[in-house]
Amino acid sequence: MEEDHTGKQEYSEKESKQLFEAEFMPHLGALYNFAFKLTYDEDDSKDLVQDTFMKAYRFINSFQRGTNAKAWLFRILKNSFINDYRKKSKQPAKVDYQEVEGFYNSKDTDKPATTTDLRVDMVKNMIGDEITNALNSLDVDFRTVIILCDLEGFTYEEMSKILDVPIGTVRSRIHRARNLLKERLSTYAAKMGY
Amino acid sequence: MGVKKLINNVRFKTGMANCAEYMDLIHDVIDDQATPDQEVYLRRHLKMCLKCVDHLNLEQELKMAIKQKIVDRAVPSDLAESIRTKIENTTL
Repeated sequence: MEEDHTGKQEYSEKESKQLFEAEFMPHLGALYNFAFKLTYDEDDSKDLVQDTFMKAYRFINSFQRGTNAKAWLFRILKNSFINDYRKKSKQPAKVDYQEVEGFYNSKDTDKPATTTDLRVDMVKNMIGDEITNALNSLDVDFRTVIILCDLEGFTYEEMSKILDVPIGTVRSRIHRARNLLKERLSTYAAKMGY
Repeated sequence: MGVKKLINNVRFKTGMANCAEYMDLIHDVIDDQATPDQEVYLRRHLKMCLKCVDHLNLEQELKMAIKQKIVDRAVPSDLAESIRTKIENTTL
């Protein structure tokens, strides 16, 4: 392996394949589940994951051995989803949260009340399907931060790199996502008579 | 009961202390993103504010429920093989 002055590696074909197997393939399960939670479709998830791995392999010389492969792969998948899948998707166009984020985060905006009737015992009594449905009902930008933070355990700094937004934005998006999730669960709990 | 103790009791029960600044910290703490000093700062406030204790407990329970109750889907059996085949047939 050689390293050029830009910090890029020059892996041989054999090294590339070994690196791919050792560093990237162990994250297949996490990537597939991330893809499924974004698309809700098995075929689309498979396409998205295959596309992610192919891009990762094509740009393997940009990857430094020993750095955070999982975060790197999640970033590629998220970009592929936004650039390719979302454009092809027949879903009606949604407002991208990033476009209006500045408005929500500005100091002049009254933040919505965040109190819900949700209690700890209600959450304890909920089953996975109820929480999954509430999570799936969130807009993709909010769903993504919950997945990255609570399911995958990424740090705010890693999420900032994956999502390509400042840490402050990551933080405010997580808060907003959790408040929305609590609202949905609270409504659901009321319906179920918890 | 002295006035000071009474005021503290009222604050503890109703969360009258200014809690807005602690909301961000609660998320930072449950996500392991707070410094030790920030955590001490929050814990000190929690001794006086039941509202924030409730908020922290709810956020912690929700995070745990997401982690434990959302089930992972099994990866399709042919996916790993199909990726390996594509990689094998790709020259850089």
